[in-house]
Amino acid sequence: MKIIKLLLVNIYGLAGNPAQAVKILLKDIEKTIDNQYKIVNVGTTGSARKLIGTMLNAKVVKNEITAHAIGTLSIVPDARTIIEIGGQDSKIIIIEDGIVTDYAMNTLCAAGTGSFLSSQAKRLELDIEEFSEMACSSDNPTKIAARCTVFAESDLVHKAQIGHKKEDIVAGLCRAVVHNYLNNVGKGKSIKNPVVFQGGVSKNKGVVREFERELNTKVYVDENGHIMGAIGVAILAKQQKDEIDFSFDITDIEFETKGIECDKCANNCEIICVYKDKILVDAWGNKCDRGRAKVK
Amino acid sequence: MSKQKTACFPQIANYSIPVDMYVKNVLDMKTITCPMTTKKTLELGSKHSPDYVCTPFKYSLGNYIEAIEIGADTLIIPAIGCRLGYYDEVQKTILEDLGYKINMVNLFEHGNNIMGIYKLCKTYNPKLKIKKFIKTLYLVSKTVIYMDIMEDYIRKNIGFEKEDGKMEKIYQLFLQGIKKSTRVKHVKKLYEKYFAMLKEVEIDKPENPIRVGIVGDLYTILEPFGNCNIEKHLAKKGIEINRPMTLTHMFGELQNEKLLLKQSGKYLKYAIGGNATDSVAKAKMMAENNIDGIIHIKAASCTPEITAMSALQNISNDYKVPILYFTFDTETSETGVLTRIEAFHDMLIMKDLKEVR
Repeated sequence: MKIIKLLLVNIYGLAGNPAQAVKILLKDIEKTIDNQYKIVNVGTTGSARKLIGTMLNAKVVKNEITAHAIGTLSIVPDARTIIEIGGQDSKIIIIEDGIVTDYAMNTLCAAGTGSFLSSQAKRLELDIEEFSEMACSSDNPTKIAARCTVFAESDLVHKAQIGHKKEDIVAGLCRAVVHNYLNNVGKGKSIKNPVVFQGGVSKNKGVVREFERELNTKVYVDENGHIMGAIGVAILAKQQKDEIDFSFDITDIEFETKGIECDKCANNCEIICVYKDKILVDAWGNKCDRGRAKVK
Repeated sequence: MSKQKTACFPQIANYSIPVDMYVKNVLDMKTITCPMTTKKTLELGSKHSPDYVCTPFKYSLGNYIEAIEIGADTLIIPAIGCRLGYYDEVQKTILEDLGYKINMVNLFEHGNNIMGIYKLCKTYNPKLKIKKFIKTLYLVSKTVIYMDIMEDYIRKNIGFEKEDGKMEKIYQLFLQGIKKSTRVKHVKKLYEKYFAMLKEVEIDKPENPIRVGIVGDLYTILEPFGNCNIEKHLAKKGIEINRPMTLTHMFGELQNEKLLLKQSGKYLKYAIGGNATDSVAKAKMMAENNIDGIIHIKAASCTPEITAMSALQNISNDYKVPILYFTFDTETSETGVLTRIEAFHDMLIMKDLKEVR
């Protein structure tokens, strides 16, 4: 049974202004559904979930870890391990009988994530598509130290200078990402079949191939792997009992956010205030009551 | 006659209260409460600390500098256990290089047994009578025990309060009250009064709430500023928090390494330093008691706790209890911590629902 139907899949650049991006998105949604559907609930996820949630009066405001797990399970119900590597973060989610039982997320360092690969690709003057293709053409990946992005780069230059082929180096980078992931994020976790791989880096065939080789199993990559969070939060919103009044008029309302530094003590909490047509509707970020902004 | 010294103990939860009692009575010094730890404290501390030292070093150094600025000339440190045992010397040198003229008193300079502590007190206060010493020790330990019992009750129930903030208010009143106490009788009376009040606070606690255990290095689990108020955030979600590691515990069980190793069972063969042996022992104990999840907290570069993590991972696999690991650095963002806690909570709820079905 397919519980959801995707009507519109698109990626909107934030350009530093999530509220504006959401407005554009809403206009597109309005056009797509063309009065055939009614919006009864809204869910948000990701780093701007709280801000956009306030804007759209969302009933579900969920962190991306839970949202991803739920989204993936709706498409691969028997998944046991979800590997996710994005631009700056990477996580592992362990599932047993359709329930998340353990997860881990990278903490201090972004080595072994998408930005690591893209910066190395830039160094080799490849675009990321070529990079993916080239990695698959090598049978003999070069060994590259991947503990730290900076050291990986000097290792890479060294390997190129002593005469390793470019495609071997590229494949070596993919292998380095996989090793880094398994040693840091996946450390101590038992990775069981079926394995689902998602996030931006899952589009890189070289990395997929290395994961399959290293784990000695098929790694499942869904074409909608990059929007699992959105799917997950949509499912959660659907499960909500009460409906909200949703109106597309929101695109005409002016939302403004302002970061204010509280000066009541040396913590200088940064308080985010959200104004709807110049009226304060929500505020957060204060550590204690002294910094609470007055919401009417 | 020389001027009476002004002592200060860094902020570690509310424990400066019993430490101040001790310093006043047996070391014969005045005490001042160090200014509340804020971001500025941490900035000050990090600026003058080696980069790779553990976070508690930076916090306490910041506390000391701010305390000196409001008039402290003697700094109290309980240097014992892990690397902390050397921190008095290092911090003293750093502070002297900064141009401050201070005394550093390591409470355990002559060892942590009763004779060693007495010897230390005699060096600072030669007139001290053994009777007063024993009496103060009794007063201080009783105060710590009472505080820990109350805090434990609060941790387990504050998430279910009907009216937010009531328990915290009552506990603050208790703390204000004991600050002036000089006798155990008085402290006990206050404890009985306020604990009864705490128990009267209306709570709405389900029969089987979600229970989360906390283990990790002592400083970071004790001091809320050092762990981004993690307990508060957990409680807000309606979670019962179990934390067997307290200061009471530090002076009791924590001294008994053999016992801790026995409690850790097959997960540890020898003690791993600091209070990390205890982290493993307590995690195992909680896992055996069917706790829903465990959160392991450590300060950045805390070596004993890094060692503990491998043992904890085995416990997690064997007992099927999820463990969430946190490292708190000087630049840890509270948002990141919140996201992870949220996901952890969601996971525990889903697991719970499944088991009920």
